[in-house]
Amino acid sequence: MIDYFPVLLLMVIVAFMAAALLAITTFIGPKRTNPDKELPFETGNLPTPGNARAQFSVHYYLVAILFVVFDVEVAFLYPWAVQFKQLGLFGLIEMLVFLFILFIGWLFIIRRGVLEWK
Amino acid sequence: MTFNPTDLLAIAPEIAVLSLAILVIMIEVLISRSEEVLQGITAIGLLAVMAVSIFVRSTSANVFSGMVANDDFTMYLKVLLTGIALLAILMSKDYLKGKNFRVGEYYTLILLATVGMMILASSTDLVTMFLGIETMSIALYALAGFRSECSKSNEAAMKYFLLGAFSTGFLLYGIALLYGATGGKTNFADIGIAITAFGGDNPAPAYLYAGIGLIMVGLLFKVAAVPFHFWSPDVYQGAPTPVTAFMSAGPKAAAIIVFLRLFGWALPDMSIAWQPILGVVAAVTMVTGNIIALSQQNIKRMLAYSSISHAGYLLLAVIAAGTAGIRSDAAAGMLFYLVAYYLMNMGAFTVAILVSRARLDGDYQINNYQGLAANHPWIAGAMALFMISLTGIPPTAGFFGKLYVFSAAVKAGFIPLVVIGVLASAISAFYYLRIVVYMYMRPETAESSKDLKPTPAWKTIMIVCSILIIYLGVMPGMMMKLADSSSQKISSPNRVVTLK
Repeated sequence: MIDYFPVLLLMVIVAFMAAALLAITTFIGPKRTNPDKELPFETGNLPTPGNARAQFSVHYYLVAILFVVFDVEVAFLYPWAVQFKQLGLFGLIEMLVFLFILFIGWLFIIRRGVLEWK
Repeated sequence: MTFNPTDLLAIAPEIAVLSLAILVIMIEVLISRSEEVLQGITAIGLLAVMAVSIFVRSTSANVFSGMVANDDFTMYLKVLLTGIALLAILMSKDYLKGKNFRVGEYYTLILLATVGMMILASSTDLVTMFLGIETMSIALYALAGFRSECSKSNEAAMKYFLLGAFSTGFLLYGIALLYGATGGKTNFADIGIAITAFGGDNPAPAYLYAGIGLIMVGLLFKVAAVPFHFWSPDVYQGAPTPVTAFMSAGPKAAAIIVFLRLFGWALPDMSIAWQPILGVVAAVTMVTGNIIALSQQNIKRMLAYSSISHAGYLLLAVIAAGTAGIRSDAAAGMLFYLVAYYLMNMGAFTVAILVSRARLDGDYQINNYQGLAANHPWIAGAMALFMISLTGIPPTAGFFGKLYVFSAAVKAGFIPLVVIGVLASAISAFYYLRIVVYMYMRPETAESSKDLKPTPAWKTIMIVCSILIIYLGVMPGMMMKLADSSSQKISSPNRVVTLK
């Protein structure tokens, strides 16, 4: 148990530092605001006006879901890369089959024009 | 976990269908969007898959460490499921014309659903079962909403997807509990062995019962048994009709088979717990499905409720399979029933497409069948045969299907259930034969005297289904022998089933 004491110490120090820094900047830092600075931060875009339940293009969903598919593909590649030597030729063939099927999917997406933003 | 390359032979049909799906979608995007080419390739490919299912066999008894079954029973199921896909594709041929569908995607989705169904029907492990159910369902959600310009079709896809995803949650939770209760087992055989350890001083944990119940909910949803049937009429009505035919035959067959395998082969020692529950569900399903079908005016909805009640009859076989000694009888009866049900349902939906197409508004009202026999004696005759077979009147395949399933249930001692089943079939005669009455005994209308223009593809389906229904109804011996011999050899774990 005592082995973890430094970790506990670190957590306490970090919490204290965070609280202290926030407190110091809040109380003694200068405040020069303008309307643009007060806007909620939405990854660089203008914030959604009014009600957040506005309609927007279904295209967003398509791109997002395709991102997930290929993101997961990469997630599967990591363990294979780590165990590359142990898995040997069988692992390589297995992975090529997997990549081939996803490649077909990618080809399908491109030919359908799903990624063309109109 | 060792990998044996010959194991791949056992899933050769699945691999073949998957390759076919990839081939079709690639041909559509890269080479040709011609409907004839895509249809031809899909159909020929499926015939090849049938041959592969029959002739390519793995000798290994323990395929993929027991995750997939490799026996005659599974082989027949794969042939049956390929047959369902083949007829659905044949049925779609002329249906898709002028509908502005992306044909390649449509065929690919049907093929992918077939892969899922095959995995499901051959699974002997909770993991492969779940994989199969999901592969099948995701393709079906998309297929149900394929008529994207039609709001009913969108409604169907949405309802099917939301409820289907919800039921998957139940199934998954049940799998997790079963896994926990049996000490980390997912294989059906291992689960069966783990469960025999319970009893006496070591009672089964409560969450084992909960797990079995939740799995039951998930599977009952897939076979559309009451009270988990509410999605089915809306989805059947909204989906494109060939897809409806496909959905009513394929996924139901695959799901009920895994039901049989799981409950009959992995959980027979728990049958005291699940047989009564499933008995009530089966009774309610048979009665409710048939009674609601009485008031339907739309033939697709009527066939949807009819397929609910047929799920009830099939559940009788699952219940019977929980009794030691009746298992293979029940499995054989179910196999025969599935073949018969597939033939008559596919045939009935084909006639439904034909009749609705002749009308300008293309609707599926039962009134459209008035006086059909006067101008179209052959089509009306085929429809009458399908309806008689669905009712279960000899000499048709439907009669022997019911006979074998009911007799397995009688042997297992569920006589009250069988009585309910027979009475429910008597109710069903009213709405099935009503169509026959409409066709033969009502005067023809301006609509029904129109030429239905059956194309060669639709004629082929009607002829093949009719001939096979009569053949199986007059000489069921050969099919029954096949079903019997294959059911005897369902790969069973190396253990003695003990009756408690």
